Amino acid sequence: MFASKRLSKIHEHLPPGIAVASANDLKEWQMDIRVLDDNPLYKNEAYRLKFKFSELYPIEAPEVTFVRAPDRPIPIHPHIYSNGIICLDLLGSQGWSPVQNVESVCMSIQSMLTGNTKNERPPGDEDFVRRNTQSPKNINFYYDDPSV
Amino acid sequence: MDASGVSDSTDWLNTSLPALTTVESALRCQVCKDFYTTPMITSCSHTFCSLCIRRCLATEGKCPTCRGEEQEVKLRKNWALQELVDAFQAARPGVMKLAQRCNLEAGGRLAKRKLDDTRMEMEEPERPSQARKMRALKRIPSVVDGDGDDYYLSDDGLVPCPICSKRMKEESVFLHLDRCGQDQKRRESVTPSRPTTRSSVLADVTPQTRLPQHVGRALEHLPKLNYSILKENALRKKLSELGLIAGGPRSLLEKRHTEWVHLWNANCDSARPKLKKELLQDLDAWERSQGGSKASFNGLSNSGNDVMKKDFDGAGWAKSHDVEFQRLIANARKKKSSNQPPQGSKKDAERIGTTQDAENGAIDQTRAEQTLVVDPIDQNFNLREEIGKQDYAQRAAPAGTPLTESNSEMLYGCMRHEDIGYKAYPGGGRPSEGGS
Repeated sequence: MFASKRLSKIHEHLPPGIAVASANDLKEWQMDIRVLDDNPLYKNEAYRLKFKFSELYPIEAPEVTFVRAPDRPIPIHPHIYSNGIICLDLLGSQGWSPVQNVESVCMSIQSMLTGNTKNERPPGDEDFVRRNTQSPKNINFYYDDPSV
Repeated sequence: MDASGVSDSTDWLNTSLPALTTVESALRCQVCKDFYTTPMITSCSHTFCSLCIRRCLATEGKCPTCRGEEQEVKLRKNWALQELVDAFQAARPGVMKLAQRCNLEAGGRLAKRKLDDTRMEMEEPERPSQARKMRALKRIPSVVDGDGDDYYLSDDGLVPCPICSKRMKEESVFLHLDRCGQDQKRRESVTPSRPTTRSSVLADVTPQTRLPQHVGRALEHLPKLNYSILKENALRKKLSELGLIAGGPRSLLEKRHTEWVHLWNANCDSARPKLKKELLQDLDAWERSQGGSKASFNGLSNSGNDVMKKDFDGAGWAKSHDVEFQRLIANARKKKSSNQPPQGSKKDAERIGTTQDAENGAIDQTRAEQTLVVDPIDQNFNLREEIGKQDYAQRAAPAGTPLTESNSEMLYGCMRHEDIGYKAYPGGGRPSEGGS
């Protein structure tokens, strides 16, 4: 219903640094993003994002994580866990708004990477990655960093 | 529009009118990305389709754009926008055709003109801003001559008037335009609703009749229900009064009613209300895509329903999950031997061992497995919170079993002490036979 209007067109007119990797159905999309400036942490790298849409999209937020693939590492960032889970308020039920779309989410994550200077994982990354079996949407993050 | 049949504002980007991209995206709802259907304006002055904003507000009482607090009752219709959307949609195919054709034909000429321009600029020496103004002035006619009229040129050497499409020599167009414009104005004053564009390409644009400012027979909005104070039977009655399907689990009843209220109320706002029959079809479409028939929709309450179905393959299920059953049985045995079970449940606990071997073991296993599937270990906490002690005991025990202090305690106890334990308990057993 909503899903069909998520526009096959997205392939043609995407902002620079964002490309569709696969979008075979309306349940799951993969997008490649690049950071465009000279940030040494992410220069010359592409990262793959996985979007999972529920039936209620766009009322409900999609589930967005980084996924590993050949030539597609998980970017290092104080809010990105090494299993690809992203701590970003707009992906949580509180921060999500139905006016967001795949493009705007990609751009937010792009700028989140661009603005980062810390070469580190979130505190407690190892522990979290080992324990975590939940879907990212059910995790209650505590958004404490207004600088992102 | 492209092969997929979905139109989008970016369709304009590769035409001769790329500026229409922003015009069109302004006429689309930011939630569903489609053209506004019955646009409603919020108290924070943002506009959405009636149905979209109602669904959003039901989930989160905030405006999707600015997150300002908002209530459904504060929504107001945005008639002007509705008219604009209707008119634009009607004009779109014609304008699109024109813009695409024009882009093809003008392609070559445009390139040539640009070349001329640069040569002109190169010849002119750099002068202060006064001169630049002059240059700009000089260039305006060149744009009109080159760009605007180019695509009107055809084999006969004549050009059509942009207003009335009458074909004439290029020189006489400007003279004709003065007159034609006046004629047009005069015509408009007589019949104001006539479309002003009359070129042959745009001929298929149907004249827009103004929207009715109020619908003759006013449809009444449906009130929202407070489901928590409504008994299930009352809710079912309410649904059948509305002419809706009254079957299904309670959570689905609530969702169905909510969706119906959204559909109905959005329809009340509409300038061209649909018939109830059509609305029911919409609800049916919702039901099929997001409602009850979608097994994945409500994992917790629905995945268990399969087991309850009459044609459920109990033996097959028992076979395919045999390993897990064995593990559960082993766990339960271990627990039994290590813990002295509470009074009254001793015999029941023993039954776990015996019933598994018996004929009807498969059914009991099925029930035990059902709980395992519905709530993986991680989610036990949620489950416990949700259904609570009494409720759980009632569910686990078969219908008609009197809920005594002891078996309620026992069931809940199992659950608390070892998460696996209670699942191995076969469907709550039959305490009336085996226990007390």
